[in-house]
Amino acid sequence: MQSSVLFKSWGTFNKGMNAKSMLLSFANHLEYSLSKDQYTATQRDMYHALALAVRDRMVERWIHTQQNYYLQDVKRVYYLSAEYLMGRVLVNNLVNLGIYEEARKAMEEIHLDLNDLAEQEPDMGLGNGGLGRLAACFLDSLATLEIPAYGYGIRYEFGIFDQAIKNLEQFELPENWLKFGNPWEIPRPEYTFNVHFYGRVKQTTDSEGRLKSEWIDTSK
Amino acid sequence: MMDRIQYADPFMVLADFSAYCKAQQTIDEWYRDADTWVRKSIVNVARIGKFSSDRTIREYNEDIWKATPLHITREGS
Repeated sequence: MQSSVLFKSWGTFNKGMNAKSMLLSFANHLEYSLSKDQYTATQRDMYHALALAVRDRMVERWIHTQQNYYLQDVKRVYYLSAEYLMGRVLVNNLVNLGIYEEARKAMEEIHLDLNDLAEQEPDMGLGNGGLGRLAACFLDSLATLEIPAYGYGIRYEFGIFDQAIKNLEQFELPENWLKFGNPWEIPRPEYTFNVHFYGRVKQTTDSEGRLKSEWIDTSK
Repeated sequence: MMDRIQYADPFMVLADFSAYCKAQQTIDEWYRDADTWVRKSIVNVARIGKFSSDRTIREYNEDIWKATPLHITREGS
């Protein structure tokens, strides 16, 4: 495949796992993804640029993994949960990629503290407690055990509330976690499905004896 | 806040408070005996092992999903 040659040469420039390559990628994102320079970039911009640099390295591996699943036609597991408490992911992703130290060095070179940048990330609080945290742990374990799997969740606009105490009472403030954009997500607006309410499930057996479920009599 | 806990207590926050205090007193006694405390600490940590989500997922996969793990190498394809 000819395009793979292109990907390979781009890869050595853009997606290396050392501090120098990370810094190049970071600068590239700061300028071309965020349109900022050293005078206008805020700490949040720096965090976003680093997150995008880290994401590039994950995207490359993600595509490679999906290609392997497809080519070897493996059985996949789909984990559905209404809640996920993933927490903040920058440092987690750096550690799992094995490049925390290289990223720290890259940021140090331009007098930025990796921990300060990590503090910029809002908490992805898409759950209430134990159930959501368990779902997140399950995804970690699926990865650890190398089981081909996906987690499906709900992209709530607001996470679990920000707590404020006034006159000895709790006030729940909305956690507007998407306010400044989310560098970790890739929208796919071309994939949309209408979900109808109500109805019932009709189960039938096909000619090869497999159970088929159909959702019928829904509202329009 | 105290009034709500003392006179209403809708979530029964104080329902087991005396039992909790009693248990804490027993813990204080154990803590004074360093050997007992160390032994209990180690046994407690060791027994947490069973509650690993890795074990849960491994069992789900063996009993229900039956998916084959796939090791992905950087080279290949």
